[in-house]
Amino acid sequence: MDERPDRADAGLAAVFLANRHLVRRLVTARTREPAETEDVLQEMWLRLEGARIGPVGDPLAYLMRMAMNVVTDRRRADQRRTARENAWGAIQPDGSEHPDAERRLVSAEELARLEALLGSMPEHMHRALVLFRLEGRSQRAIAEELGMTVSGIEKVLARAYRRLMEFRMDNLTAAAPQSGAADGRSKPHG
Amino acid sequence: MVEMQSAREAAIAWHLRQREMPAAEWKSFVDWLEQAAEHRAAYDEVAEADTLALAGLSQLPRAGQDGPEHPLPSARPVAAVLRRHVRPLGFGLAACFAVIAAVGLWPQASTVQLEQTRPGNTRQFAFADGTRIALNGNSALAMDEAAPRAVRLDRGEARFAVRHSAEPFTVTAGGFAMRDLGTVFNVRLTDRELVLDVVEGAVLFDPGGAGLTVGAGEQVSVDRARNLVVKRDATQGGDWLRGDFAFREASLADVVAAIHRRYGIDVALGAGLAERPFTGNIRVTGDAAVDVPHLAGLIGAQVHREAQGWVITETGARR
Repeated sequence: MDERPDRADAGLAAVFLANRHLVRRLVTARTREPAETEDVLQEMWLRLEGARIGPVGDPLAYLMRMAMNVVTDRRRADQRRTARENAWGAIQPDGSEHPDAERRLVSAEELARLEALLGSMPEHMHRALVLFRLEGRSQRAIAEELGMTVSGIEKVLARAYRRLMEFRMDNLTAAAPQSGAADGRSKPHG
Repeated sequence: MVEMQSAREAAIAWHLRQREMPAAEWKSFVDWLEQAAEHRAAYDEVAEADTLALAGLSQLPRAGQDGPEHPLPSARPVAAVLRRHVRPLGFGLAACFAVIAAVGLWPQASTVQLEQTRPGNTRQFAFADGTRIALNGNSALAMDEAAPRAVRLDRGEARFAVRHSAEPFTVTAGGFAMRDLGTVFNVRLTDRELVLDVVEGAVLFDPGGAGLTVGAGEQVSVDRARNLVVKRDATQGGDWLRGDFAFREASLADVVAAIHRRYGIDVALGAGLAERPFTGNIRVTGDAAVDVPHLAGLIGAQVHREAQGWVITETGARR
């Protein structure tokens, strides 16, 4: 009854306010920079205000994912210093802007090597990665599709990410330094 | 292989779980990140790897004419990309990730989601293409993640603001299909009738059958018992979302049902009142103490409050 009918996102905004502290802890741990943390929280706030979001099952989990996405998104924008269209302008119904924007973050040579890496993966690993990362399926759905167990899928995906991490260490050493410098230590050795 | 987990292994595990993690686990994840700089650095690496995965995979079979070694699964690459844009919101690039995350909220067993509201609770859905649906209270709407341009109203009322595109947007209700021609329209389904009101643009009603084009300001109603379809000028405006109700040749029972649906206010009608015809506009605030006497005043009836709720009776009627 007290639900504001014309603000579907009022619920999420309220959850955001009520859990500011936890969201801030997450963002701080990811950015390590107070100023960046403030910017991320501000951006989240703007997004919550600017977009209408349907009901979500677990609003806090949703907000935490959103925080992660904002951090990642800002970090990439920062790394490549690409001017980006504003949030609303970027949405296209055909979805094609997404891969294109990603592609710009990696040079052509890097991409060729990356493709070689992906192509060298066993078929089921590659498929699992496509379903997980490109199609956004749950591990359970992937397990069903590939006729494997959920724990098997988890292992396969973990191996795929390990390969990608090794690839990154070997090939992309020129990538922008992490903003993790504030931790006072570098990345663990490869 | 199951030894002490390195920071990296743990970071990968957290990352893989993230999409399906409930709030409680997010708290544990924050604790883990805060525990050690090594953890934070390891997670950064996973996040970078994740970006690489997306960049590399997006590249693969886009054109698809060469019989790629790894075709996109399910033979529906385009649909798969579209699907991710379906669910809620419109953010920028990060939105795409958020949407991917949101997809994880759908029940996995089926791609169909039934949204049900209780009386007095409305919900709104915004699709990335700009289409919006406002679902009234006491209503049920079925949406299919795999077919975002087709929804089914099982009960109650919804208003659709549809962004027109090559793929038509279709609403089915009570066995009839309504296809948008780029438009804002309202559908109400009760046991008795199905009513389509077109506010802007046009809707093709029953495309496979009657094929009626219903324009702005027009209304089609179906008497479900008799399967009688009537097309006429729509009621003047009316916007239930804001509490503006317009009735034309309706009954008081319809009025009371509309207020109940939207605001959850229970009103009982005394003998003989339910069938009394009602035509006109009512502004409802959601405050029963204001609205119910207002309605009673409009129809020259009296109102009192009982333990179960509000009761409107004929003036002078005895209880």
